[in-house]
Amino acid sequence: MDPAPRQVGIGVRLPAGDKCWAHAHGNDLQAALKRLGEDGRLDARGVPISKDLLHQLLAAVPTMNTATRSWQALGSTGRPSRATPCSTR
Amino acid sequence: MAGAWFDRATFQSDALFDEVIFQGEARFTRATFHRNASFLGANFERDVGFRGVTFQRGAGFGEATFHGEAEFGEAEFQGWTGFGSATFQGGTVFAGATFKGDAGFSGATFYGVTFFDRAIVQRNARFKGARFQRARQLGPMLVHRALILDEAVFREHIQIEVSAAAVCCRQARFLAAEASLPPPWADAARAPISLELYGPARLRIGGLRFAVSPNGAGVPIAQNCQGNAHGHPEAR
Repeated sequence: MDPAPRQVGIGVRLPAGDKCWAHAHGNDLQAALKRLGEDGRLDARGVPISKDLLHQLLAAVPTMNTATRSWQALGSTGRPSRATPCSTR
Repeated sequence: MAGAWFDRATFQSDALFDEVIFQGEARFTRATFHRNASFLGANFERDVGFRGVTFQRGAGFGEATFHGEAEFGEAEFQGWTGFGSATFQGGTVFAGATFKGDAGFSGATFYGVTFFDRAIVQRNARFKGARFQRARQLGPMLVHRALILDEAVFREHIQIEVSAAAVCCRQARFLAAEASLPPPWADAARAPISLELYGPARLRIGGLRFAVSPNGAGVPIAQNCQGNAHGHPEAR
């Protein structure tokens, strides 16, 4: 019997794994949140963002002296990486 | 340059970005906010792109600061919209934007050029107390109800091209020498108008022309519109 067809979402994949923010779990999600906390860069193109996910993302963003959340400008490319869509089953 | 990229993202619940500082580029191109979007006091330090965004509920940008270009072209605001006391340091683009409720820009300051061409406001366009530092054109845009420019300040020659059911300009100030308000479909005969023009000025409202004497710093020309200066067309 053929496996269920693989669905492809439009959300961009996280650097680790083949899922987007909305569908990643476990270590992949934790790694992405950790990375977000370190560099303040968030690529959530095409991602369906729930209340819980948005809360997680905002909580992970590094804070400044003012305790205000900040999407920091780090890195040099100035653009997110080439988008690879999320694969969801 | 890094930042936040939400292009085509869908926000399924209230999206609260109040007082968030976007130090890098922030892009929400064609994103959809299914519920309220709140960016109160947010600080966008680089360009921000909301082009083609759909706000299905309220969109709050009160006291937000846009340091770069603020791009809201073709955006669709389906609920209430508030840019009250927002500061636009760079260019501001609302070209082709649609506001199904009031478009609230009261107290906003526009330091750069503004593009509201082809914007449609299905209720009132509120610019009370707004300051236009460099803008030379407002419109052409369509306002189904009232264009409210009370206490607004225009520092440059400004050409306002707005089709509106009514225009309110109480204590609006045009600091440059010439202002033009030719709302093609506005009924200037009914619109209550109170204007103060500083310096030699020429003003055109609905095809009517008003001249202010060259020595007329702070010359109010409300008397020119005296017959119209009653009532307030603001629709609620």
